[in-house]
Amino acid sequence: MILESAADRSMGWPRSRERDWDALYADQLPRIYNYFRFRLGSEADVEELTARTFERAWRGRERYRQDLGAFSTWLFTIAHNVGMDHLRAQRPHVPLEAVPDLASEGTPEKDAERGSDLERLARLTAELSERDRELIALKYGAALNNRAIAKLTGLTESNVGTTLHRLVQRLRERW
Amino acid sequence: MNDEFLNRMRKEPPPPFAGNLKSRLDHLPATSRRSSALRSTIVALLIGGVAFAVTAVSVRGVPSSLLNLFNPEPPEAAAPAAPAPPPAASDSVPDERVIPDQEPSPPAVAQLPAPTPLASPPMAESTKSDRPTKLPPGSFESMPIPGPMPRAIPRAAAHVVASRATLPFAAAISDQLARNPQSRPAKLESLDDDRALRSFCSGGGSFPDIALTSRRITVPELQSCWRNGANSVQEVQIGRQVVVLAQSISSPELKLSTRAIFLALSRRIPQAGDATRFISNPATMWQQIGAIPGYQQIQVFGPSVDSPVGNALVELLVDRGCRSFAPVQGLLRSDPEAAASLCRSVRADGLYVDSGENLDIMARKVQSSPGSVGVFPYFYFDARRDSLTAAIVDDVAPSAESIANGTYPGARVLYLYAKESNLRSVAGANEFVRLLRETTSRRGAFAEMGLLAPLEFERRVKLLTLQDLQP
Repeated sequence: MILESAADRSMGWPRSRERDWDALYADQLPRIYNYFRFRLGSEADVEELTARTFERAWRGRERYRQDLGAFSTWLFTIAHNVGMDHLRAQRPHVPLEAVPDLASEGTPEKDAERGSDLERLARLTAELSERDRELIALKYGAALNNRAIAKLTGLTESNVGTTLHRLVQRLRERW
Repeated sequence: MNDEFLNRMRKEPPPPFAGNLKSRLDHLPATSRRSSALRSTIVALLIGGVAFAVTAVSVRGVPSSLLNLFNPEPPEAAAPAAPAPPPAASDSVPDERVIPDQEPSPPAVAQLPAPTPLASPPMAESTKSDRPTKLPPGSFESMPIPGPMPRAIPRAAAHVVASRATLPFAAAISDQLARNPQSRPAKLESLDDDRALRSFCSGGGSFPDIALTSRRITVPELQSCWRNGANSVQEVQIGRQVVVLAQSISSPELKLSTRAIFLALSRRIPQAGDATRFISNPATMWQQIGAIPGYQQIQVFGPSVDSPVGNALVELLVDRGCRSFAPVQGLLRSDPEAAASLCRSVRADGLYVDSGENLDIMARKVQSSPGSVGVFPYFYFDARRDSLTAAIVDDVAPSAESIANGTYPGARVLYLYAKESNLRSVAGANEFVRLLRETTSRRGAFAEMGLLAPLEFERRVKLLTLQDLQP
């Protein structure tokens, strides 16, 4: 849903469009959250990085230009940068406190199962290149389609499809 | 492609997390219309440039008599104006080309209730007496003394110029006004302090109504305001922004100079033995930069440098430390932009950890990582003195006293300047000022952005005179 800003109407500035940020938040939060789960291969720091991504986006939302691309592309670019900063900052001797556990949906058994799957995925994707890990996170964490992934990564859509097919086959064989 | 084993690993974010984050975002102001303002400026300059070029080319072949039309001479000396087109019939659609003989009245503004004066101007008399009336010809001060204020041009919204440090506060107020259908949100423009004040002082009615800055206006700037017709400039403090470096209470006392803070956090630092060369920051231990004895890893958790507190860290502590190097002083004179870029960029190699906006998480990280340092707004640290201890900076510990008397380097006063006549004539200007003053006067408002409410006497509005600006 796109709303015209009351501010723009009365400010006499060139009219711009203001998005329905609540709807965007509801739509994008699970995507960003799962993107980080898949990207990091663990639950630790996921909430913090998700929060950081949204805070940056919210603070800079006036800078977002609809004509330059989809909101999700913009948001995932921020998420990618936040993730890379985080990974760069990780040092073996720096104990980062895990984000406090908050009640999550689902049963503890299901959470444990998902958690162990995530750990298994992390072990398997550790041998992949950065780009391949990013593709997996965007496809299965963020649930983006190949076209959106192609836009984000600069690859062609067919290249994204082929690479993902190969990656999934490889992961399934070792699962 | 059987990828179900990957798809089933997705899960919904925990509702408490989603709710807390949404609540934080709802209170997070959008801080930047900088790029759009910049774009507008560039487009305007390009259009202006093209128009100028076209005009310059075309006027070469125009007889001088025609050019005289554009000479700034008295009306009687100018060529007679072309006859106005006949008035449109009353029942026809108004012709927009018809130029009214009289200046259009500003009904939208005039019909608004008279704004509450920002303050009674008790110092108006002294303002007049402060202004020199006879000065040596040719001297800086001999430029014309401000005459009557040009009539403010009615505008749809107040025009606020704000420095980077103050923009988040201005944006929050503007957003608040935008939510009220009865109010008029302000047009915001982000400039640095110098440019904001230069723009503000460029004239009266059609120039910015309000300037928000992180430093006080100077005497030459105020004189420039007066010369350009902005006669009555009001000043009010909107608070003090204070940033604190803190460690876990169990850590030994940390004493840092601003120079050490710069050396620890800057992206580039002077090369050892040759301060004229700047290199990528190689320091990883506090001991390497002579800050503290022993071997302690540099690890600083802080907010994004784009955030208000991050900006205060950079502008107050890192930048100040950078300026303590003599070669930087030279660079500041020869290339201020290069100097600013050098002094205000924070290292991105992981030793400064951008930890987002959640202060509680940051505090827990500091407490669980011995020797690490966190960057906090003062209010947050002050409420947790039982678990955090603040670094002493340039031999001054952050305290209510050292902040109030200006000796603590991590604090700065934020100022609001407004043109008295614009507050009366520009819709929304007075409301913006009133709301900003009300909000910042409340204890705890904008505290997460590092703002401390001004003291009672600091909240008073001053009609500025030169005497006020004497050191």
